[in-house]
Amino acid sequence: MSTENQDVDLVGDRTVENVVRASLLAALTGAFAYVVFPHPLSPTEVTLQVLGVYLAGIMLGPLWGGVAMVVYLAAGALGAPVFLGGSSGIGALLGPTGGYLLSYPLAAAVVGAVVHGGPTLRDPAEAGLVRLVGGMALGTLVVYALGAAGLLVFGGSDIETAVVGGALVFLPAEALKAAAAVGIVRSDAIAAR
Amino acid sequence: MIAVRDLVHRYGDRAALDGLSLTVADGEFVVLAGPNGSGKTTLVRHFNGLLDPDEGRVEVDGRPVDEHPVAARTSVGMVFQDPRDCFVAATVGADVAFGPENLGLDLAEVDRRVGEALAAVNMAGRGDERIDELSGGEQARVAIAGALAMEPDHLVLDEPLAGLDWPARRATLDRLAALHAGGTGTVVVTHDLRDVIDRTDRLVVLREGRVALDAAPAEVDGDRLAGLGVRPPRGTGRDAA
Amino acid sequence: MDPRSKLAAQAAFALAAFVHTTPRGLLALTGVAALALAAARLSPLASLADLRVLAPFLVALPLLEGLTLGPPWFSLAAARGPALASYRTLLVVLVSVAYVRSTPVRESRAAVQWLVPGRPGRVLGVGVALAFRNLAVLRADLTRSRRALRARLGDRPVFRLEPHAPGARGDAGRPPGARGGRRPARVDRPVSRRPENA
Repeated sequence: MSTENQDVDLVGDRTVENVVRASLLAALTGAFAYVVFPHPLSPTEVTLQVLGVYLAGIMLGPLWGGVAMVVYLAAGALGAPVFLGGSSGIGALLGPTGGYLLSYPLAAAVVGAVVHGGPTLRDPAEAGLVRLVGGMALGTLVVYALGAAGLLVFGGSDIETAVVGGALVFLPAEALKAAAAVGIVRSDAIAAR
Repeated sequence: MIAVRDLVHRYGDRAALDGLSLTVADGEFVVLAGPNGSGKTTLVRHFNGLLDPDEGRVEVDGRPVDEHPVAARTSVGMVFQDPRDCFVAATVGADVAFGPENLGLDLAEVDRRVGEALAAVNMAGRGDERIDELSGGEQARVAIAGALAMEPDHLVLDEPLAGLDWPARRATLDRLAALHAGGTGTVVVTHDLRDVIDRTDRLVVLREGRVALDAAPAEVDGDRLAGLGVRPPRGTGRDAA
Repeated sequence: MDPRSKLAAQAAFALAAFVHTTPRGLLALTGVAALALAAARLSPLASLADLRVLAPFLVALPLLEGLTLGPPWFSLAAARGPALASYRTLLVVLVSVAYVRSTPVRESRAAVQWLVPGRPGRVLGVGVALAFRNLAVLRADLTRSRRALRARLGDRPVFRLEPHAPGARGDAGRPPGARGGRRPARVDRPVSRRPENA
């Protein structure tokens, strides 16, 4: 690999690389929307989308992880079938589940900030388990706080329904996804590329 | 035995298979030819239930494929056109072991099959190598080994020669002939009959989702093939090489 | 219609729906939504298909909020707010479906770059275009992987009782002799096969 060539337009090249990565994580999050499991206590299904949020924060850091999720929301709003069950459009962002979706950029930024301990990127495999799990726990909190707020504002539900039905019943599934993210980040498959 | 009766498969409004019937006996070496879009790939994906028929029936050894998918996929091994579409693992050994493992065989038997399958494609002892670091020809051989490790009655290969250079074509065909001699029925899908036609006793040509020709190559002349959209090999019949 | 105006109209519609979440306001907006669908040449039934994933929420929320612990067991007054919100969501989704179905992606990208000026807008526009492309690639790859799994019974594995020893994957590529030449008894197969002549 020739480093000289890459240094000619450092800022531009870096940005291009980051945009490409952000779009890949955005698409991955969209593909995760197709991986659904029925949930026994909720009318909706559990998808792997939040795993995309975790991975965006872990792999791209707070800034570009957040950008990846903005790209995800924008692509979905403009018609990419990336929301629950392959739906799309601005309507999904302003419906009862809109709060969850709108929380993704902030949640990815929070995960990234905790895992990388600031705006500079480190190798996520080097980050301690405490940082990884702590970051994802905090990110999950953001997703469900804003998700419950969305149920309140967009869905017209009251606060108990929003907190219990919109957040608490999903937390066990989130723990599994966080475990998956730890496994992915620490596996050799990521380091190989 | 693979038996297809009155099979119809539609993609939207277009019928890729339009009432097709075909029987492939155990141990047969069949070349399935036809121009692009004639339904070859769609047909073979029905052999082991990777697609569901819109109409008609597909049976393997007398059992309907849709009701007995395990039997069908054990009996009919499939190698897709792009070897990369066949792989499910990162290393050669893990990928070839995948099928036997899913059959619930014990470890020693899985190992035996993996070893034999890799030996059959001249890849013995290379189980630990990463698939993405192999050449295209080697990947094609590993893909065939992955199907062979299921010890299928029929080995179905979709365009196994596409993209191979001439020596690799000959080597692949020699290998398939050896497997056939060992008792494995073989169905080779191709749009190009060069090198292939003198290796088979049965040539089936599809056109617009139906069987347009089913004959011994010696009985078929080049004009007939050209009329069906298949490039005739130089001369025709078994003497052409 | 220019995609920028369509985006603006969509935003205005959503805003109006949130401000006027009353029976009368939503009735008027129903007419507007119907016009949007007609302009996009979409039948309301076809666009309702896009609501299928939200439908459980839209139905469940008013029912859940209306339930009371004790007679009369269901309070219309409590269900009213969520029911209006559900109907509002339905209208906003219908209008957004009209936008999505009537606007090519590259026009949307131009609209994004107009909406968000400067470098962030360019980054977002390129990112969105690439996300569309990557999603298509990912979905095609998922289809191929699924086919590869099914062809070798990865979708319905027979679970063995004896677990794999650690490191077995690495050994799997060795020729059979390398493990001491043990030839195990043949395990029963799920299918009757030709006599053992292979």
